[in-house]
Amino acid sequence: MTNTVVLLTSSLTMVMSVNALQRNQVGKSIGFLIGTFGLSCAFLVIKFFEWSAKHSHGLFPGNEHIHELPHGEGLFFNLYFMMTGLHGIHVVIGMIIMAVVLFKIRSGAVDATNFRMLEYTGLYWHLVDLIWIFLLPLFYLTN
Amino acid sequence: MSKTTAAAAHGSGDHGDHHIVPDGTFIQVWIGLLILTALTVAASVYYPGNVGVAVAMIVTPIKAALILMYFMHLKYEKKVFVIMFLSAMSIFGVFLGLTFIDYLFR
Repeated sequence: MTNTVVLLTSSLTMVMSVNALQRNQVGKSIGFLIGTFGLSCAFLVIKFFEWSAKHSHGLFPGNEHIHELPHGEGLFFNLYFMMTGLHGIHVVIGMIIMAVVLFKIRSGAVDATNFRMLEYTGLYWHLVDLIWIFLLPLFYLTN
Repeated sequence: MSKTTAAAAHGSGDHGDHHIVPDGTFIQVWIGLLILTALTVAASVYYPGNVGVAVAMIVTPIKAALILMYFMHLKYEKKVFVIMFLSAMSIFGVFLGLTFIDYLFR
């Protein structure tokens, strides 16, 4: 739930960053991009605590305990780790790309006339957000 | 005639150049997304089970549409991109649906 808010907000700051660069407001664009980066860090930190809590209950991939659970539950947790893990990897990839674009904006290689790289980074990031929106009801709202 | 020139003008130009959406629109979309998220979570807390799942299954595609249309500015793009995205999403939907069915009937 908190993570959904974090990720939705990061999508907002991302779109604001693209918008600012298109209007040639470089400082504002960089600020929003750093904000997006910070929010994705926050997302991963929250994820870390969430996984730690699962881990302390003996719930982690490959653990015998998961196989001993009744059928549906074992499937649930395996899917949960697979999907959130894959999503987490995409978040990390997004952060790396954001950092690269950030330096490119700083150096002037990406600017108001050549903002495509930032725009595509944004599209990728919204997709990561989009997928999370589907993961939320799938794993966090089902009982 | 006017229709084709309009389409050509829209098609030849790089997207984004034509439509710089005001920041306010994005903030409104973001608030909408937060409200819809709260709605989904509330439904699953107060009506766990079928009602909660039903609400999630109705509200989640609406949230997805908001992100696609505004954040990913699909609303301002050519129709072909909408069709491309919808076909990809429907394949994804099939997988998600099958997963749900597998999960529900175990």
